[in-house]
Amino acid sequence: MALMLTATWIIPCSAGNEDGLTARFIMGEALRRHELFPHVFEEQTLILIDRAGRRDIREVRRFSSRAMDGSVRFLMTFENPPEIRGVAVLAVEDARGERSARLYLPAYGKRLLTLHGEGGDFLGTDFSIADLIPERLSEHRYERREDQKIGDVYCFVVDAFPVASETEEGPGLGFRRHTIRKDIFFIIRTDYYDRRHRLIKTLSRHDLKRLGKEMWRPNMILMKNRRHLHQTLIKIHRRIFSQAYVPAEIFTSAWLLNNRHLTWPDRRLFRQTAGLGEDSSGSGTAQEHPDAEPAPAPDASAGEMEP
Amino acid sequence: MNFFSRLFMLGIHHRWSTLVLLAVVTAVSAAGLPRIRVDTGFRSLIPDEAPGRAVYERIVREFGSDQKTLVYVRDDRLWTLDRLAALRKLHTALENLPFVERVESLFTLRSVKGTEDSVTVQTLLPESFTDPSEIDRIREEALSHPLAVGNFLSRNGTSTALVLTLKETSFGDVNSGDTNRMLEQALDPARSVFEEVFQVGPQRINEALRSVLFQDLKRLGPLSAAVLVTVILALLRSAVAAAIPLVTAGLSILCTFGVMGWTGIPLNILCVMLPSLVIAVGSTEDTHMIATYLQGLDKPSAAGRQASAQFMVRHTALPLVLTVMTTAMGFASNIFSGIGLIRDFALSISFAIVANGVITLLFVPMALSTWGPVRSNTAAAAASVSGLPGVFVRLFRFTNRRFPKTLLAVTAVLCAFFVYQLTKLYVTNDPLSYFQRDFPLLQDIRKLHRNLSGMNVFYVTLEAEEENAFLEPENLKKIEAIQSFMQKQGIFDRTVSLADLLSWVNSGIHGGSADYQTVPNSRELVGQYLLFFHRRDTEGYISHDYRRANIVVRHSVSDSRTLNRHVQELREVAEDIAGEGIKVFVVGENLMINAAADSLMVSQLQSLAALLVLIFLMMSAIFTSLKGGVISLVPNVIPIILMFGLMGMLEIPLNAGTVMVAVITIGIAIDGTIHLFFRYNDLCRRTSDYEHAVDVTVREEATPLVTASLALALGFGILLFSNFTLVAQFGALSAATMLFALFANLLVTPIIMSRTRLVGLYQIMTLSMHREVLRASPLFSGMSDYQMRKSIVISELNEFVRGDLLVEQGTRGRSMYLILQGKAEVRRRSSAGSQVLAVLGPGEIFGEIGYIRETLRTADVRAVTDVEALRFDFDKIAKDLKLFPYIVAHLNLNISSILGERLAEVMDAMDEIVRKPDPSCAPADGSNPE
Repeated sequence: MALMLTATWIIPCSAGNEDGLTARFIMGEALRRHELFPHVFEEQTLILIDRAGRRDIREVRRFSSRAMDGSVRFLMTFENPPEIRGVAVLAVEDARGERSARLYLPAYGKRLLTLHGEGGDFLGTDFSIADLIPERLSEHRYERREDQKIGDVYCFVVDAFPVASETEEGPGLGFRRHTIRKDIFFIIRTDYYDRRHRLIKTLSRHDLKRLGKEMWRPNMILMKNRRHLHQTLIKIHRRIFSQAYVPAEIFTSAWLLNNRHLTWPDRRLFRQTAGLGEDSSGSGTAQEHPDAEPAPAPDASAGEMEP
Repeated sequence: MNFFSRLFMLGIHHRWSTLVLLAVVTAVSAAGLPRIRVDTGFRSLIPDEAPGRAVYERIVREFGSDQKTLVYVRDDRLWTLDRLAALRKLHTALENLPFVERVESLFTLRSVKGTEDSVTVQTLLPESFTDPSEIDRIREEALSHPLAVGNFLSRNGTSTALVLTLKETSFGDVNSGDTNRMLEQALDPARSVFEEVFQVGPQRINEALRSVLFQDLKRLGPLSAAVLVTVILALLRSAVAAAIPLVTAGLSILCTFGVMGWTGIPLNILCVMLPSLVIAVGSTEDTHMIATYLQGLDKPSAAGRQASAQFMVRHTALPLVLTVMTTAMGFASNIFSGIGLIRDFALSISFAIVANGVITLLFVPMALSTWGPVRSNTAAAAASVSGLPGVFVRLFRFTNRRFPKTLLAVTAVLCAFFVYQLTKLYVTNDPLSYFQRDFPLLQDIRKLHRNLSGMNVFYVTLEAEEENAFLEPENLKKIEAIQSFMQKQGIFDRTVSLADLLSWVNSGIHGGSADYQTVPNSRELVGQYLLFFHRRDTEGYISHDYRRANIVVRHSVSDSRTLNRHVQELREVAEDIAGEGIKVFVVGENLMINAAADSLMVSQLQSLAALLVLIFLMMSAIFTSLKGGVISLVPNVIPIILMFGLMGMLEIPLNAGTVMVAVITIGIAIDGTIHLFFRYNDLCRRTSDYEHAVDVTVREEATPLVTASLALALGFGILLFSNFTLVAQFGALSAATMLFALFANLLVTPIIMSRTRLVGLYQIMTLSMHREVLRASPLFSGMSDYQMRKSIVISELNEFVRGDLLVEQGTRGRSMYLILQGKAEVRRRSSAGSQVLAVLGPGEIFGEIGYIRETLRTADVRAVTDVEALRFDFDKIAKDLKLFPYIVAHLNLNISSILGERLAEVMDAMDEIVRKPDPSCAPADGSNPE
């Protein structure tokens, strides 16, 4: 593995430069098209699968909001199983890229706890908080690798090196390798390597749905932890692009401490917006997306997915 | 000549064919040698039908194997940047090994620390240290971490352990060598960094067992051979006599190992005894045979190799077959053991003993008739029985004449004392007890136990009826209560459960407050705390549906008795705490192994009882006397009682090795008893002086018995040099038992024998051939078959060769004879010469006058041909048939009839003489003088 990686590094970034696209451009395009929609609400099921194939199932709601200055707010609330209903994680990434997270445990008490720690396995999943928030171009150095063909699909391959950790040694997250569909600039797979260039985990996106002229979103995301032989599967049942679902107040401590999140979005909102912007089956269109049109493109996933 | 004698003659009459046959069979068997496999795994210590095995396997599938490997690292400077970096590197290297499922260490421990408005969730040790001063803080945190100390960190912080869970397929004995080697290779880089690094686990134990097994095999066999040669040379003074047992043993061992290869019977640690046992046991028979051969050289009728070999065969064939059978039976009684280790060993050694018997049967007569000595160096010694055998003979004579009852009483008291001692016996089945105390592996294990926790693991698993049961605080408190009880028991080192994880989080999130060092008080809080854990953190303690909770227990208890007792107590208390609706399982491979200790004892008692019954039945059948069966057990039970009592006194445990001593030594010791009985019985056919018969028996059997017993004792004693304690214990106890058996056979048994007359099967078989003669005999006229048999049983079968004087005129005797076969001449001597009065044939009696009334014999009776006759002794019949007066009366009536007929014949003869005129008295004129 180390030899392969070294070989790829030796090959100059001119590999694939025939099209003249730089790694940074490719990443920027990928983020622009698919990740930067300002308001997204999703109903998700998290399935945690251990090494023996046994499953833990959690139902969550996810709200994300991106401001004009580039700051991102992200709220995840747990609906099921009953003992964790009401647990919420509120994460904020400011314009400078500073990230913070707070945790609300209803049974613990009415307080939001600032969450510290490396978060390599966020709330028992194989994701970290950083995995759930789109990456910032300014925080990474990108290098393009040789293009790949997966099935019938041609892909860019870009390595992303976090600038801040490049001077550190020893284990810990090293770099990520993104595999990006050339036709739609969609990141279909991300491989995570530690500083010793060992593959730690792989994130793959499946069941892609076109939600606009250029925007695609996956309805299934799978994170495979190769070290611990554990997987986390996220299934998105409903996705709505609407500020009505993601108002600013839901990202406040008052909202959470008063348990308003337990009933949000409420049924009235669903009735009001029914048929106008839901993407529960992948066939609808985003309510506020300017380029809404039907999605005819085939679904080229990142490869086989574990059941 | 009986069947077995004829079989033994094969080696004498067809020497080269026998040699070729032996060579071919040995070559074919030996071809299996490369296939032989070694089994040092622990699974062979668990009975096939171990209760709870299915449950154990289910739980292990769910929570991971209980077979942990621990990597121990110690360094006074453990908490420095470079040492921690090296430790991290070691952790990663171990994770990357293909057979490792999971590694737990300080690096996988979670830290949850809370303040009023924040919580920090991370691994206890960060990926890397940016500030060296952090190290001290983290060290303090680790030392106060309830899950760290005793598990992954010693109390002084200088020793740490990495706990490896290996994949299930790593435990097969085929792979353990590779696994161990790769583990050791992974540790090598760390050894140059840290002061001390070692690993302990099933693979290392397997490899240690395997290595010691081969060391023992290379050492014990040659040692036994050397001792055997020395003993035989010293006692029999013949190089050929010393070489023969080596050859027979060598061929037997080769064949046995070869057949084990062909049949898949594995070589296990008990098999290190095999060569020594074959040499020791096989040599006893060879010694008997050679001693008899040498005796034959002294007899004029058997001088010369071939004749002496035939003499040997005639006298040792049947006893040899019987002793091979009984010895093999002794070993084979273990074949039904539920423990694979014992069963496999029993199969191999039984085969070896039988093979040795067959090879002896073929080879020894052939070898002696071809290369045997032509002069006996032991003849003079045999006549006077010097040395140690002589001591026994003199001691026997002394005690038999003066203090026979005292000796028996002393023996009984001794046995009673040792019976009391044997009540202290205990059983252990712990494989680690097989190693000598100073073995490096045990030293490492003790170090681990001293600084951290023992390496033995078992699980206490609670299973509820419904899912999510162990999200309920009430049920989590039950886990806490069970752990608290185990702590009070004081013999288990460490327990870890889901309750510990949750109480630690509860405390941590509350700023480390000890008030919160308890399980959360609501189901919701339990569920929410569990969000801090990844599944890999909890999969060893809780099932994914929260229906089954697992307490992992570490200990270093090696005494089966102690462990079994505490586990039983734990089981009962845990079930009580768990209450209705929650089942409790206490499972672990080491528990099953130790629990098998009890079955070890029970199965061996059963084998011992079965063997004793078998021997009793066999000996009773041979001598057609229950008394014979009982007496034959006495010299075999005494050594067993003494041996077990010795074990109790010296606190030697019953383990997989020592538990077999009883059945094996009975099977061997019966050999001496059989030889004694056969010889005694043989002598009793020729003399009515039982005391003399016993004396001769002891004198003649002393040398081979002492030689054989010494050889056996020394042969077993060689096992003391084994690196395995159970083998050394087996050897020591077996050697002692052989000496006890010698004492019983040469001192106690002859005293009992001299007061008993046994009828052999041989004699009964002979009598059945003369049934018609007996029925037609006037002595049994009018008697039923039963009455006839009863009379015959108390008679003696005597054999005479042509020319023997059966009864001498003018001597006194109270015996009467009934001729079964042959002819005897009755001749009366007088001053005028001798006159043949009659020639008696089968069915006729003589000596009846002396039987009825003690008087001088009236004539000589001499065998005209070879004669077989039953001898009836008046005093013996009066004593033994006291309870059967009608039989005695009928016999006396028949004797009276016979005497009456004789008198009538005499009267008729006298009349004949009177009627015939005397030519010297006839009138001159020829008239009748009357």
